[in-house]
Amino acid sequence: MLDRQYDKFNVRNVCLFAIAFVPVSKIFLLPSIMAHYAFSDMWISALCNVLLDMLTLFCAVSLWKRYRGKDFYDILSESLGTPAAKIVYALYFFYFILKAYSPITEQKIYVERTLYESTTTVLTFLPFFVLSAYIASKKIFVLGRLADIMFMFTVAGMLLLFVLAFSNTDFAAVLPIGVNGAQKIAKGAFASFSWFSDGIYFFFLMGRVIPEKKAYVRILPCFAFAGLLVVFFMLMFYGAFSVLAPRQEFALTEIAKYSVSVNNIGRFDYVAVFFLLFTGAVSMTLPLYFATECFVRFFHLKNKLWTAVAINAVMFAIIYLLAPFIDTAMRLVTGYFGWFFLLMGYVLPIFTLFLRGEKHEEKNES
Amino acid sequence: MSVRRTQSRKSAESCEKSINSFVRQTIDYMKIKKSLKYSKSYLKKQFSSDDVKELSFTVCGKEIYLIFLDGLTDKAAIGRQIMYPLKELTEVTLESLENGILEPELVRVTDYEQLIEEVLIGNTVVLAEGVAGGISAAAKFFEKRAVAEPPTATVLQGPREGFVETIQTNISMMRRKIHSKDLKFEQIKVGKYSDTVVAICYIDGVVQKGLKEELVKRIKEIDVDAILDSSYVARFLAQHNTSLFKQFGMTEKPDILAARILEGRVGIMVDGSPMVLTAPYILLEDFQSAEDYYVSRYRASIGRIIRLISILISLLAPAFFVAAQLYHLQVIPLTFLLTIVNSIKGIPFSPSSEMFFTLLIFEILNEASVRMPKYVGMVVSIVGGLVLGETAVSAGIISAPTLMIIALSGICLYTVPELEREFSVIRVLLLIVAGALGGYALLLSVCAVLVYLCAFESYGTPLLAPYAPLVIPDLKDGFTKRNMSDKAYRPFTFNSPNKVRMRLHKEKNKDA
Amino acid sequence: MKKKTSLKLFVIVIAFCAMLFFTNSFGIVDIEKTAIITAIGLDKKEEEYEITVQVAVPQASTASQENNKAVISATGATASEAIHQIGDITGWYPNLGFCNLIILGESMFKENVTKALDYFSKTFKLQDSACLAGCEGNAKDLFATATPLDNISSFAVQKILLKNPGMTSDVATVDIKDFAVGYYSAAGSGYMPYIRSIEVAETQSSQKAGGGEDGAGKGNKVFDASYTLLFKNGVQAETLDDHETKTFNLLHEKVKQSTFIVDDVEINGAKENYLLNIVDNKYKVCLRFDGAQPVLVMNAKILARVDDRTSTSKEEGLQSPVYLPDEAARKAEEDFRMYVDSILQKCRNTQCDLFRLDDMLYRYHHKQYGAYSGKLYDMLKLELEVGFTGVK
Repeated sequence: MLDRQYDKFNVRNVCLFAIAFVPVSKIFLLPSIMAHYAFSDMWISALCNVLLDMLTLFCAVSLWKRYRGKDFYDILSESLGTPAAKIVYALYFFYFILKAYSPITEQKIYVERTLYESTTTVLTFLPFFVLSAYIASKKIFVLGRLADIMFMFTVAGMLLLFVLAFSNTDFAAVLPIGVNGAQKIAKGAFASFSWFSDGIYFFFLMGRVIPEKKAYVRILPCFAFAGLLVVFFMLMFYGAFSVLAPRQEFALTEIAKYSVSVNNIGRFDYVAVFFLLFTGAVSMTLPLYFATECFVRFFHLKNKLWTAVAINAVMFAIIYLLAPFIDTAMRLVTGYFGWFFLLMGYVLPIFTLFLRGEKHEEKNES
Repeated sequence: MSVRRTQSRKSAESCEKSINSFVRQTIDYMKIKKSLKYSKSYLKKQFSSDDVKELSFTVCGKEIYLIFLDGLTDKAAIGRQIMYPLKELTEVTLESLENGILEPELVRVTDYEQLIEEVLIGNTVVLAEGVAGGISAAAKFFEKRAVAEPPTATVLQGPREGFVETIQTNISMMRRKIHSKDLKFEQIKVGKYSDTVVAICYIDGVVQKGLKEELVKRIKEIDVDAILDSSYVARFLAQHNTSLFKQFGMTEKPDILAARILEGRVGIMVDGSPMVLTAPYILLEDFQSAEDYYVSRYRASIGRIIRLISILISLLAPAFFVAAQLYHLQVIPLTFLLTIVNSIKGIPFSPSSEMFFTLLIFEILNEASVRMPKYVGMVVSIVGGLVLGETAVSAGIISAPTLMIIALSGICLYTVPELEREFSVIRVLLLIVAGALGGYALLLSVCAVLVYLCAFESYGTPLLAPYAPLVIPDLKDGFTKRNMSDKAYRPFTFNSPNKVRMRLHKEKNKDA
Repeated sequence: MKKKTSLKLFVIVIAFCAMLFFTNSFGIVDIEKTAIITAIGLDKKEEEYEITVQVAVPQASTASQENNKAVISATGATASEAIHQIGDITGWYPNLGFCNLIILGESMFKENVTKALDYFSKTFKLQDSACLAGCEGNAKDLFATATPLDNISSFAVQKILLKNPGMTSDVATVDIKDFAVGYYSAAGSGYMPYIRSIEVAETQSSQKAGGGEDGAGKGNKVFDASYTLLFKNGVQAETLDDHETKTFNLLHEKVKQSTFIVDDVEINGAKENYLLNIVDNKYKVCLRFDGAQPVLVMNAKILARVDDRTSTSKEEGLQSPVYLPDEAARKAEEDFRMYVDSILQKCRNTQCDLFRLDDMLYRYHHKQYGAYSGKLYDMLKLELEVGFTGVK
C-alpha cells in the first residue's frame, strides 16, 4: 500500500488545532458567566486560565518529548501500572463527558434562542449530536486536517468581530484594573474551568503526534495567541456592555451588532457569527471525541463508530433530561464540579511531570 | 507420521507431473500446425463471423493463406505490402515470409490463441502450407475521429487538441508533448471479451513511488466482460466504493495530462475512450483550468476564486434561502425581506417545497437539454427559460426570488463542470437538511461534508490537499496562483521523488 | 462492513430529513405567518402600558406597489404582556427582530422608563441596538402621523435617528443598550432624542410616494429630533434645546462633521449670522483633582469653514470659500461656552450625570469615588477651552 505521508498529526496540526478550536468554545455563554463573577476583571480571570492551560500544554509537550511514540495510556501503564492507567482513563472519560456538558448546553440554548426565533423542537439541536458522533468515529488525523482549514475561519471570524465591535467598545470600562479583588477574579477563573483546561486535549494526542524539533517554540506561542484572542474578546465584551455584561448571555451575536456599518446594511456581523459557529460546532464535539477515545482505549475496541454513536446518544439524553434543571446544573458545573475540573484538567497533568516511565531513547530520534 | 508425510509428498509430485503433462499437451495442441488444412478448419470454427475474411494464393506450389477482419484492415496495403511481395518469393519458410512482407510491424505467431488475438486487433495473419507458425502484419485501417478541441474543456488561450478514442493516437499526442525516454506507457489488456488496452502513463523517476505499481496491480485484478470506457476502469480502481466523490481526475486534453504526470501523477488511458484518468486526484484540480497556466497569475487567481465562490453559492444559496425563510428571518436585511414577502404572497407551496420543485424542474430541463438533439436545444431553452419560468412566476406558482436563486445556483455550478454531478447531489441534500431542520443543521451539514472530505484520500493523497493538510509550498498553485517562476518544485502533495521542477537562472549561475 | 453501516446510517438520516422536509408542519412560523414589526411605541394608559406597533404589511406581488403599514395597539400590565396581546389579536407571530425604533410617549416620562424598557433590553427577540427616543404627545399618534417622507412613519423617524455620527450632530441618538448602561452604571443617568411633529405644506412628492394607495405617504408632517431629554434614574428630568444638543454632541459623541449657527456677529458695526460647517472636531473631556477640588476639563478644537452668512458683498460672492472672520470665531466660542454652562447647570439642577462623570471618577479616581460620588456637579470647577479656527 502507498505511503500515507499525511496520515499523522504533526506539530503544525497541533498549532492550528489550538488556534482553530481553543478560542471558539469560550465566546458563547462564558463571557457573561465570567462577568457575573469577576465583573470588569473578567479578562484577568480568563488570562489566569489561559496561563494555567499553557502550563498544562507545557506538561503535555514535555511528556511527548520524553515518551515519543507512546500514547498517554501507554505512559500511564508503564509508570503506574495498567489498573491505574485504566482508572485515570475512566476518570478522564467522565471528565470529558462533564466538560462537554456546559459548552454543548450553551450552544443548544444559543441556537434555540437566537438562531431559531419561533421553532425549537428536540430536533433543532439533534443534528449536532449526529455531527459529533460522525466526527468522533473518525481517526485523529481528520481533526488535524479540519484544524488546517478551520483556523482560517476562526481567525477571520474573531478579527471581523473585533473590527465591527471596536467602534462601540469603551476599553476604559475595565478600569480600574483589579478593583474587584483577587477573590472575585479567582472565582471567575474557577467557574470557567469547564470551558478552559484545553491543554488536556494534547495529552490525548500523544502517540499520534510526531515530536519535532523546537515543538515548544511553535506550539506554545500558537496556544498563547489562541488564548489572547479569548482574553481580548473578554476585554471587548466588557468594554461593549460594561455593567450590562453579566446579562448579555450570548456575547457572540451581541458584541458586533452595534457597529454603524451593521446598522446600515443589515446584520453583516452574522458572517463572523457563522464562521465562528462553524468552527464552534467542531470545537464543541472535541470533549465527546476524546471521551470516545478514552472509552475505546479503555476497552481496547476496534470499531469507534458505535461507541461514538452511543456516547453521543447518552450526551443527548443527559442534555435533554437536565433541560428543566439547567440553572442547577450550570451552578454545579461552575461551582462544585470546578474542583473536579481543577484536579483532572490541571493537577493531574502537572503531576505527569513527575512520572517515572521508560523514556524514549535519544538515538532513535533522527 | 513421517510415512504419511512421504505419501502425501509423493501424491503431490505425481499430481504435479500429470498437470505438467496436460499443460504440455495443451500447448502442443494450441501450436500452429504445418497442415494448412487443419489450421483453416480450426480457424473457421473459431471465427464463425461474416466479417472475417480469408484469402489464399499459391507461391512456389505452396498455398499461402491470409486471414483478417474486414473493416479493421487496409486492403490496399494487404495487396501492396503483403500479397505482392509474397508472390515474388522463391521459397516458402517462416523466415522468407517474415523477410518478404513489407510491413514495419511484424510479429511471429506461434499458437492459435495468439493468432486469434492478432486478427481481432486488426492485424492480418499470414500462414503457409508446411510452415509451423505464421506472421502477423499490422496493416490496420479503421475509421477514427479526428483530433479536435474537446467539448468539455474549451479554452480561449492555449492548445486546443483533445484526446480521441484511439489509444495509439493519444499515446502519440503525449509523445509529441513530452520528448523524453522517461515517459513510459505500460499497456495491459483488460476485459474478457473486449480485450481493451489500458495504458498506464507516467514519467519514470518523477512518479510517486509505489503508485504505478499499485495501479498496475489493481488493473490486472480487474476481471470483467468488457471495458467500454475509462469510467469503467475508474469504478474498479476506486478505493471507496460508496463514495459520492470521484477518486480520479479526468481530462480530455494532452497538455493537462502532461502537466499532471509531470507533477508525479499517473495517467490511465483506455482504448476507446477520449477521457484519460489521472491519479491521485485532489479536489483543487477541478478548480484549475488549463487556461490558468496560459494567462496572467492575477487573472488565473481571480478565475479560481470566482469558481470557488460560485460553487459555494451554488451549493448553499437554495438551502440558505429556504432556511432563512422558514427559520431565520433576522439574517435577511429588512428591505430585502419585504421584497421577498411581497413576492411570495399567494404562492401555494411552502418555501421548502417551492424550492425543491423549482430545483427539480431545473434538473429536468438540464437533463433534457443535454440529451436532446442540438437543433431542438434552443426550443428547450426557450420553453424552459421563458415559458416555464416567466409563466410560473406570473401565474403565482413559484416566486421570482426562488426562480432567481435556482437559476443562479444552476449557472454557478457550471463554473466547475467537472464537479457538477457531485455537487448537484450535495445541493439537494443540503436543501433537504436546511428545509427540514434549518440553518444550524445546514451549517453542521457543511461541516460534515468538510469532515468527510478531510478523511478522504485518493491513493494516499488527501482530497483537500494542499489545504487540508496544509502544504504551504503547494499553495502557490492553489486558489491563488503564483508565477511559473515561483513554482520551482513539484507539488509536495504528490510526493514525487524528484522534487525539483525547474532551476532558476540565479541557481544555475550559482551552480556554475 | 463499517462503510456499509455508515452508508445505512446516512441513508436513514437523509430519509428522516426528507420526511421532515416535505411534511414540515411542526410549528414553523415562517415568513407568511410573521408580522414584521418595524417600530414600537410605548404609552402609559392609567396603570397599564399601551404598546403600539408598526407592522410592515407586504402587498401583492406587483412591482409598482410599495409596502403598506399597519398600526396595532394593545395594552398590558407589562410591556411583554402587551406584545403578546398583539400576537393574540392579530394571529400573526410578532417578529421583533427588525424593530429598530422604540418611541416613548410623554406619559412614560413621569415614572422610571426602565421598568418598561428592561424587557426590551433583556429579550433576545429584539435587538438592543434599536434606537430609543421620546416623543411629544403619544407614541401611538406619532405612528398614525402621515408624512411625505415615507409611507411608513417609523421609517421616516428612523431616518433622522440613524446612528451615523460622521454626518451630523443635530440629534443625540441613543440605543437601548446605551440607555441601559447609563441607567445601571454609577452615573444612573441617560438621555434620548425628543421627537416632535412639525407641520409643513403638502408637497407633490407625497402624492407620488403613496403610489396610488390611499393615505400612504400622504401627509404634511415631518419630524424633528433636535431636542434631547435628560433622565435621572429613569425619570425624565430636563430637556436640552437644539443648541445644547449640538454642543453636547460635539463634546460627547464622536462628531467630526456638523454645522454650527452663530447669530449676531458684529463686524464693522453690522450684525450678521454665520452658518459654520464644522469639518473637524478634536475634543477631550476629563476629570482631574486639584487637591480636593474636582476639575472638569473640557477642550474642543473645532475647525470650521463658513458655509453661508446673511450678507454677502458682490466681490465676496465670486470668492470661494469665505474664511472664518475672527469676530465670528470668538462669537462662536462665546456661544459654545454659554451652551456648555447651560448644560452643566441643568445637570447640576437635576443631578443628571450627562457626561458620565461618576463613571470617570470610578475608573480614573477610584480612591475618591466614595467621597465624591453623586456630589460631583455641585463641587465641580469647569476648565473649558474652546477654539474655533477657520479653514485657511
